[in-house]
Amino acid sequence: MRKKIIPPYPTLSESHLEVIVSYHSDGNDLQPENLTDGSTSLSCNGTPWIAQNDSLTISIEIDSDVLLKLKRTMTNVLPAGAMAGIALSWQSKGSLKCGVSDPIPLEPSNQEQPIKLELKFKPGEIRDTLSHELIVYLQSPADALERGETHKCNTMGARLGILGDHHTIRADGRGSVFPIFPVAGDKSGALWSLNCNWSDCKNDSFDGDSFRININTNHRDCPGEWTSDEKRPLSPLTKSIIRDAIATLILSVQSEDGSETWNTIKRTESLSDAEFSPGSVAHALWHFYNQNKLNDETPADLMESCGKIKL
Amino acid sequence: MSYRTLDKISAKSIITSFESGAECLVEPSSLVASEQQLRKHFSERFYRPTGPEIPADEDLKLGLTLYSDWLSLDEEIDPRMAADDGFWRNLTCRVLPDYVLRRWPEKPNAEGILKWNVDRYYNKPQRNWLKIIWWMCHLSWQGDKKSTEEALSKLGNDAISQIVERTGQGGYRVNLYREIIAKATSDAYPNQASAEAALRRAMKLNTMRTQTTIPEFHADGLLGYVASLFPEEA
Repeated sequence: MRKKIIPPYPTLSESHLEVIVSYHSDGNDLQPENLTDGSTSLSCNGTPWIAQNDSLTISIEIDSDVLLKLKRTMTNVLPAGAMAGIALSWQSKGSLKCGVSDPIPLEPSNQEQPIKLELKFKPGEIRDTLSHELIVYLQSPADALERGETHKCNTMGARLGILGDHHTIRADGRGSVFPIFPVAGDKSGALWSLNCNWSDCKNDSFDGDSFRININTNHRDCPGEWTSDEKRPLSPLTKSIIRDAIATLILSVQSEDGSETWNTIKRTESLSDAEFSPGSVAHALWHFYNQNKLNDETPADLMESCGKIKL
Repeated sequence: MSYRTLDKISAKSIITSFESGAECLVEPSSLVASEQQLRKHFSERFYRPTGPEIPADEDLKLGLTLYSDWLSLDEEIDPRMAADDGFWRNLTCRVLPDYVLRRWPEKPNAEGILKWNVDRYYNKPQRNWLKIIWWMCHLSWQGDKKSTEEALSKLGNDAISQIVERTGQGGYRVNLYREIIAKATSDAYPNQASAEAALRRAMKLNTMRTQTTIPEFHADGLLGYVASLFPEEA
């Protein structure tokens, strides 16, 4: 099982930091909207931001008093004479890329003014999701240490901590849609079936490609919302199918991917520590498991606790 | 740039039908213009319609042609498409399945039944044949086709595949990978065995170091960081 790496030097605990996050495309402000899976979609005055056609600039502005507070905190971590810097780290598993913005040193001279960090992406560059977080790192090491003193973080570029919240921008889809597909199957076939097609639950997206519930619209018990042209709320039967499907999904991961993988997923404390990609099958499972306090001691316990999931 | 994507279930259905005896034929009219053009390039390069097998050492030359010409970045495809598994699935399953079969022929399973190597078509995105050889060139690009070919020819397919197959937690640091490959294939490592060993060591060290440090912020920049991954040279 992969374990979280603990650096051999003191680091900041995840600190809350008040920053102003804003998004722009070709000079226009974009408005964020929080989605139910914790990610954010963007739009410009009601027109959705389209990753294929529109550029994206992510800006983080940090106030001078926040910076001063941060610098004071850093004295507990850094050797005397060393200096920290901050930068925006980003990753987009769906785009197969990750990186970091130009850094800004936490120098006394630049603490009078708010500072701004930016990430810029061209149209057609990002797909699926893009996550970003503010990191603090060692900008310049101490020239000379006290006698007998050693600092294993006295290395340029050492990560010292994450500041503030982890943000995930959704470039495609809405992130909250459960993959249910009406299928015109055989009248005598099953009312619903599951396709579990992921090859790597930690990285494959939780979408119709990796996992889907097929509802047989020719079955006599098929809930009306799948056969009607009108938009209707989910019926109690569909909700029950979804709950059973979630339990089956967890059991599939336990048997196909192994109990170690499942334990890694369920024991993940926060998304910033997660060993799975945002929007992945594992992310969905983590969300269901923690949000609903599921009991996975036995398959029967799991089915019962999944039956209580609020939809 | 009018390529389509293909979902995993449809891809599975296509390959299962071939596997169960349907002739592996692609009807050109079922393809869009850009897909037809790509198929034409393949038919000209591998002019025999069926067999013989496409040898493994063709991967490098084909990858370079795909990357710098037929599916060139920003001209033929954009970064979103290059990262989209559905795009590659469409190429291997709907557009070029017969050529994939010539590179990765069917093999009998334990019961003696011939099975297609589905990982190379749709099952494992990290093992999709065309995706791997395109990304192999993207991550190894040394500024031009000739230099990239020289660098890659010092490394075996397995060594490169391992890099492509391991996207890491958040994706590739493309410039970093290119510098690592440049260093591993430099004159300091005169033969394939030493270049591959140096690359493997550097990649392991990089995986470990990136947990605690940011390569771009190394004292001597990215090049300095990469040099530190090859301590035997110091």
